[in-house]
Amino acid sequence: MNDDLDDDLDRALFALPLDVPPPGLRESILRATIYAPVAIPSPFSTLETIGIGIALALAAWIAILCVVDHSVVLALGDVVTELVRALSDTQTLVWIGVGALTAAAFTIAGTSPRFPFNRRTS
Amino acid sequence: MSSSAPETDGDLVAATLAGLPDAFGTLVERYERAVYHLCLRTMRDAEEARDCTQEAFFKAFRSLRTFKPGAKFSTWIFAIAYHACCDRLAGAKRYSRAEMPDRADPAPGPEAVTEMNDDARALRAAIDALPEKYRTVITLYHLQGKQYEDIARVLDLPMGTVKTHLFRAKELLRKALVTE
Repeated sequence: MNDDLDDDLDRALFALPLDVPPPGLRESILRATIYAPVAIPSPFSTLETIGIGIALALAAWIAILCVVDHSVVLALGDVVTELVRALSDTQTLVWIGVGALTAAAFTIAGTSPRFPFNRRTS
Repeated sequence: MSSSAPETDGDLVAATLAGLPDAFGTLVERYERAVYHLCLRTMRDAEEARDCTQEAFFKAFRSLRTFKPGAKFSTWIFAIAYHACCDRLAGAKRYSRAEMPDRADPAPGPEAVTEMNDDARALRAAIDALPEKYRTVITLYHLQGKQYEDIARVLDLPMGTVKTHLFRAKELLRKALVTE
């Protein structure tokens, strides 16, 4: 008897029509999935992008300064001259060499010093 | 007579993963109505149900690689949809300290109404009046039939609990229909 009641209820239940989805739902699902534009991955990490942005902003700022005030060009020339002089100094070159050798040693040994902002590898 | 057998859900998943996105379109076509039905019966709000349905298919598409070959796609997509609904309900409860009210209009649209006779309408009303845990079990029973294991998997409940909820839900429905 209970089974009969169950059968009647089941029959009524399974005969219930499903709710009709609102128009446009399927299209919006497809737009969000198979027709979604593929995001082009950036070749730079976030830190690199920030660095490049800062470098470009500095370059633009210096360029504007050079156009507005010609004395800045002379000052920049002095800075470049000073830099060339420093780089041609024997002591500076020795330290650059020590740095390069240390980096080469780390590379050959297959280890690298840990920095707090090591880039994530994907 | 068609010469080729209809593709199984597993075939369609494999085809999507192999780079044939239209196969996923067929899956959407197959399950859109059932998933929307589950979401609407759970959320009792047409707009929320629409969002949950969309979110479920989006999540399914994004994690299609985690779908185990041999598993039932229906159970998988229903589970994703049900959890999307639960997340929204939990979020809504967090924002309103009061118990969730019976929101909006869970009634079927005009097309569905014309499909239903008085008995069916009474049954639908009785289902809507059930407490949430029984309503969800009955809705999944309606969608999946006597596949108790699948219902248990969707709801992440032991099978015994599902059977108990179903038994109580049916009792409440019978009482409600008798007093009509």
